[in-house]
Amino acid sequence: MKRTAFFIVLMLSAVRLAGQSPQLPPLSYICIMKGDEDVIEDKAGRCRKCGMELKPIRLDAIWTCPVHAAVIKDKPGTCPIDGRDLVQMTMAVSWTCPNSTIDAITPGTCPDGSPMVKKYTQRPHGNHNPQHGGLFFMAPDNWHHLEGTYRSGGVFRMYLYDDFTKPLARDQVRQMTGRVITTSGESFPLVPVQNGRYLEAKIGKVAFPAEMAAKLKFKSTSPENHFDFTFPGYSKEAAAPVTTTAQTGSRQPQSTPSAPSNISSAAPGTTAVNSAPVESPVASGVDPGLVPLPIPETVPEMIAQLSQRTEQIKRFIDQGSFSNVYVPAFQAKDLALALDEHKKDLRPEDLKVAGPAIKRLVRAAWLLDAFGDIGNKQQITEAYAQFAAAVKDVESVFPASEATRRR
Amino acid sequence: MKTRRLLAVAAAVAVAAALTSRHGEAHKAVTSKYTFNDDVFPIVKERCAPCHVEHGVAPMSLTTYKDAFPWAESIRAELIAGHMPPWNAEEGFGDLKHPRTLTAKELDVILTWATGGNPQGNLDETLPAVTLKNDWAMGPPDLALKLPSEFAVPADKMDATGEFTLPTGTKEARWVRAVDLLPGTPSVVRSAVIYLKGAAGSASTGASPDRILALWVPGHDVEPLDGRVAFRLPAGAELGVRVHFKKTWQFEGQPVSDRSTVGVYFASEREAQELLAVPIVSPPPAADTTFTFTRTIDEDVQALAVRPDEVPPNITVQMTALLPDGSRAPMIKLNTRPDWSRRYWFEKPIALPRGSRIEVVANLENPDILSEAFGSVGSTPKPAVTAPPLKLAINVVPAKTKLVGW
Repeated sequence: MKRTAFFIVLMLSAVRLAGQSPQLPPLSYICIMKGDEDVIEDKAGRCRKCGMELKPIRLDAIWTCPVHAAVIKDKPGTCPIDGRDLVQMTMAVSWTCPNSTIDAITPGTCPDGSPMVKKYTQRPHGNHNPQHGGLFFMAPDNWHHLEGTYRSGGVFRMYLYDDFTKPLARDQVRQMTGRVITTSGESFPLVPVQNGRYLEAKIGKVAFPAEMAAKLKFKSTSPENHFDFTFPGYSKEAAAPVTTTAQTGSRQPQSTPSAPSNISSAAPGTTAVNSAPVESPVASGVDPGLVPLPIPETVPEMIAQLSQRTEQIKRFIDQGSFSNVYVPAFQAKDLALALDEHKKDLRPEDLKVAGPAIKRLVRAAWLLDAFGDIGNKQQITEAYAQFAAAVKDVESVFPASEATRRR
Repeated sequence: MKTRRLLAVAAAVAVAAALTSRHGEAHKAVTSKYTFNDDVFPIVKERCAPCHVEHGVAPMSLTTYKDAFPWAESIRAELIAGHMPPWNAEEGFGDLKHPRTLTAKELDVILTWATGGNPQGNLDETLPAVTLKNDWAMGPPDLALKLPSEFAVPADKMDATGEFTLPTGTKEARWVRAVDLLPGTPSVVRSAVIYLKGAAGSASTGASPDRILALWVPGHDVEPLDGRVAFRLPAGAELGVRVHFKKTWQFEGQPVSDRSTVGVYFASEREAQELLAVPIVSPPPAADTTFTFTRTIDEDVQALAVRPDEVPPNITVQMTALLPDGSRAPMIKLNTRPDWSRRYWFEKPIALPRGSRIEVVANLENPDILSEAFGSVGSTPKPAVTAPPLKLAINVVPAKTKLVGW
C-alpha cells in the first residue's frame, strides 16, 4: 500500500511540477465486496475477481496524529492533542451532509443549502505508522501488522494490528506465541499482558542501539515470522494512547476516541472536517524523500545521485527503518536505468561490466523493496550487499566527472 | 498427488506472500506506467513465449493479458528470485554466447507492471496471437531418429525419466555439428541428455572425446559447431537418450505420453577436430560451506564450453582459469537449479596453455537470499549440507585448432 501512497504522491507531485493546482485528488475505483476493500483500479469497470461494479473514490495523502487518526491536516506539523509529529496516511476523501447518508466524490451543496462537509475514510494499509513510538512492520501474510517497542524498564512490548492498523482483538493476541532473541543469543518468551492487549518479553537492559529479533506465530499452527528491531533509544509512548479494539476478523476501521472540538466523528472509520475544506494540494506537505527526483542530464550527476541514494539506503537499514528503503532504492534504480542509456559511450571492457552491474542493481532494488516491509534484517542486509556491490561496479566504469569522461 | 499439488500451491503462495508482503492481494492500485499491450507483451513474446505459451512446457501461458495477469505475483517472485528466465549463469562473470536473459530495462518493465496493478492498456487493441513453435530450429536434420517407443507418464505420477537407445544405422564414421531434439508432446518434455553409447575416452591426455552430444532444455536453440570442430559419430553408433518428462498441474491425474525425435546434423567437412572434454571433479566436499578445488590442464588447449554434469541444485559454482602467466580468466559463475542443465559456450575461446589450472569455488550454502523468505527462518543457522563430489566438464580443442566463427 505504500506503493499506492507513493503513486498518489507521484501524481500530485507531477501536477504540482507542471504548475497546476488540482482541486481534487484523482479518482480511483475500488471493489466494495467484503474482504476486497483494498481493490483499487485506475479506471472504471468491473472487479476482475468478483465482477462487481467498481466504485469511484478519491484517495488523498494527508497528515494525521500517530494515534489520533481523527486529526486531519494537509501538511506536516504537530498533533494538537499530544504534540507529537504528524505522520502521513492515505485516506479516501468524500463529501457528506450532516445526518445523511450522502457520500459524494465531489463537493456540493446539501439539501438544506449548506455546503457539503469533507470526510476522510481509512483504507487498508493506509497507515503504516507506529502507534506507540516503536518500530512498525507488516507481516508476510499482508494482513497482520505489528509494532515493537523497547521500554525503559527493559521490556520489549509488541502491539498487534490488522490491515487498518487497528489493534487486534485480545483473544487473537492471546493465541500468539513467540520469543525475543537479543544479540547475546538469549531468548525471552513473548507473553500476553493485560489479558491480551499486547505481548511482552522482559529482556532487561540492552545497550543502544538495541538490536533484537522477534519470532512470532500468529497461531500455534501458523509459520513462525521473523522481525528484526533496532531501537536507537527507549521507545516513548504517546500521552494518550489509542484504546479501541477491533472485532475479531473485522476488516472495518473503527473510529478513534477523543476527537478535538473542530472535528466531529462521522461513520465508523471516517472523519468529517467541519472547517474549511482543504483545497491546496496535499503534496505541498509531502516528505521530499518521497518525491521522485528528475534524472540529471549528465553521467557524473547521475553517479553522484546514485551514491547519495546508496548512502540513504544504508542509513535507513542501520536505523532499522526498513520500510523506507524502497524510496531511495527505486530512485537509484531509475538512475541506473538512465545510466544504461549512456553505456554505449563506454569502452568495450567497461561495457561488459556496466550492463550486468546495472541489471544486478535493478534486481537488487526490487529485492530491497520486497524485503523492506517484512522487517527481517538479514534478508534486507543481504539484499543491500548485492545492491552496494552492483553500485560499486557501476561507479567503477562510469566517469565520476566530465574530466575523466574525456580521458 | 493432490497433496503434492496442494504443497506446490502452498509453496507458491508462501513465496508470493513472503516476497510481496503488502502485495498479497490479487488487486492492487495501478501505479505502473507500463501496460501489458504496449510494454510487457513484446518482451513476453520474445523472451518467454517459447515455453509460456498454450501447449508449451511451462505451467502457464503468458501470451495474452487474460493468461498473464493472474500470474503477476508469480512472475514477480520468479524474476526477483532470478529463477526466470532459466539461464543459470551470472552475467558479468565470464563471457558466454547467446545469454537467455532479460535486459535491465525489460526486467524493470515487467516487475513494474507485475507489482503496479497489471494494467492492460488499450482495451480495444487486439494483440497478435502467439502459438507454440515446435519445429527444428536448424531446419530438418540430416538424420531424424524417433524414439523407439511412446513413453507414458502415468496418471498417478507427475514426472518420470525415460532411457532410450537409438541405433543410428550409419555405415561409416561421420562428423556431427549439432544434435537436437523435437518433442512429440512439448508440454511434458522437460529436459534431455543425448549421448554416445559405448565410446571410450583417452585417459592419457586428460582430454577425451566428448560423449555428451546435447544437453537439451526447452525453449533454447541448439548451438551448432562450425564443422571444423565436431562430434565424431562412429560407424553404427548408438545414441543414448535420457529424457525427463514432467507434467504441469493442468495434466495432474491424466496420463500423458510422448515420442520425441532426435535430430542429427552432419558436418560437411571430411576432416574435423573432435570436440574434447576435460572432466573437472571435486574431491568429497569439505565440511565448510565454501570450498575450492583445481584441475591442472596438461596440454595446450583452448576452451570452448563448459557444462555442469553433476552439481547439486541451489548452490553457487564459480570457475576461473588460472593461467601460467599469473593472470585469471573468469569462465562462468553458476547458480545451479535442477532441470536446467545445459552446455554454456564461451563467446570467445579461452586459451589454456599447458600448466593452466581450472579453479572451481563451490559454495554449498544456499546463496539465494530469497530462500530466507520461503520459511521465515530468519537468522536460524542452516543445517549442515552434504553433497557428493561435484562433476563438471569443459570442452576443449587443441590450441593449434583453427576456429571459424568464434
